[in-house]
Amino acid sequence: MTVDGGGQGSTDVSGTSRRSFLGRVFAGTVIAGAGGVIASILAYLFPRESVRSSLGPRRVRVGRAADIPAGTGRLVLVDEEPVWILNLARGFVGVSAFCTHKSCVIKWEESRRLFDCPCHDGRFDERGNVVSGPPRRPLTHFRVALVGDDIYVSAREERQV
Amino acid sequence: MFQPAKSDRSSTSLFYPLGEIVWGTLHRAVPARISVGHAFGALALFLFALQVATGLLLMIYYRPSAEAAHYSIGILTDEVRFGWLVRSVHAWSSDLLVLAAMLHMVRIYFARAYLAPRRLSWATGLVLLVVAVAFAFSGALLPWDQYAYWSIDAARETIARIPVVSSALLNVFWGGWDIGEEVLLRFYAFHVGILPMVALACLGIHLLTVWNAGLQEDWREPGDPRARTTRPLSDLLLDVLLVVVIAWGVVLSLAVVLPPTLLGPADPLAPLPDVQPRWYFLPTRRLLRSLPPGLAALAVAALFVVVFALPLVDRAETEPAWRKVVHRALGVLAIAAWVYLAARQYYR
Repeated sequence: MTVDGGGQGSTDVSGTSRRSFLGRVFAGTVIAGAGGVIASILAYLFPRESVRSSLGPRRVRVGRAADIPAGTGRLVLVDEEPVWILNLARGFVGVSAFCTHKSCVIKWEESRRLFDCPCHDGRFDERGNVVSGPPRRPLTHFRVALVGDDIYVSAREERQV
Repeated sequence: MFQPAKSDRSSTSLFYPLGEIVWGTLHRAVPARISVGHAFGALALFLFALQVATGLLLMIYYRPSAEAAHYSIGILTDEVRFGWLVRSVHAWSSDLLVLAAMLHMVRIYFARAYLAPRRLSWATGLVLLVVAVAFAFSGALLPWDQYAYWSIDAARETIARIPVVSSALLNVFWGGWDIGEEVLLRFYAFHVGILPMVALACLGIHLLTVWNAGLQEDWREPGDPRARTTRPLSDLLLDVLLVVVIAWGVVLSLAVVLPPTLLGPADPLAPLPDVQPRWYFLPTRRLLRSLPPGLAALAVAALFVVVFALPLVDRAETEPAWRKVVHRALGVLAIAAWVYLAARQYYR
């Protein structure tokens, strides 16, 4: 240690003057502050699920066309709602898997080409219309489209048929 | 006396003119001693930059429609990470920007720094102050909450009292006599489109004039040994950086401790009683509401013209003692009147 006279030139054993030490502290503070600001801005820009817009059309990819052979169906989730995607002769069709009676999840019977509700035996045809059982309203339809090889469902636009 | 060193870069360097420009800029000689008051201009510039940065961030989540504006601010403050902070920094730095610009102007007045060759600085500076206030005014409506709605409605009422021009003003800026989505979209267009362009143009001219004229020394008496000593600009910039770091600390602390509120969505049928304008509008509101409206509007307009034309009215290079007294008395009187009117409006 040197005897510290309080001047700019005073140094300790490592040869660092007070002036350059303070300079480094200041520069370090500025760099750390700038780093914090940049990190906060990145966090701000990364979207959260809860921030997702509820306006305008939005599509959900539910699989590839090859995943659903002709005549078969596949149960997918669209915004937490189970939806049946069917590959019919007229193209891909999407109907809600909630039975319109008590909202049980219905099942697609490939052989009989019918939806079966396990709760109260409600039955719907491939267009979603009631065939038998307690339900009175047809199933809710979803718009489905083939974009390239991928099947997309419109997440917002629902329509009754 | 500081002598700028020569740069040893050659003109074949990849960044040829840039390096020379930066080198020359950093080594330009500035007065060694300038008062702390000079910081207000730099402070205003920093706060303006902060406004631009946070404003751009806010634009990412804000939705300018009567239907979605309030909802989007709610999402921003409650869901987006640091969203409340960005909004709070934007709000605080706008208030502080107006304050810094006002103090900057007061310093310029008392230092008589509006004389030639700085006349254009004064004119553009005054326009910039008006633009800063217009920014703050139009921005206050955008959250579309109860406070925003009713404070802008009170301003509309004040404007509606002005004879002759009120109809034109309200139709152009409000999109009609009442407050609906029209005014929100107009204020939004002003806030993020028109005013930024005016501000950038004026700021460019303002800084260019300042750069051209150089900084004013505080000690200009010939016998003063401190007069005419200089130091490099890079040295001054380090001082400015210190001011900026402190200012950033102040803005951040205020933003964290006192974030702006968000009242319920604007409801045209549920008036908020007794809404005060923002602090910088208190004297104007007092004037417009206590004098006959036509007279008050004329007084405000005349005052503005006089202040604007100050470099043309006061142009003597050296002023005799009596004029010095009058100059200072007028300045103090104007500030006192401003504070008095503001207090009258606030504690009415």
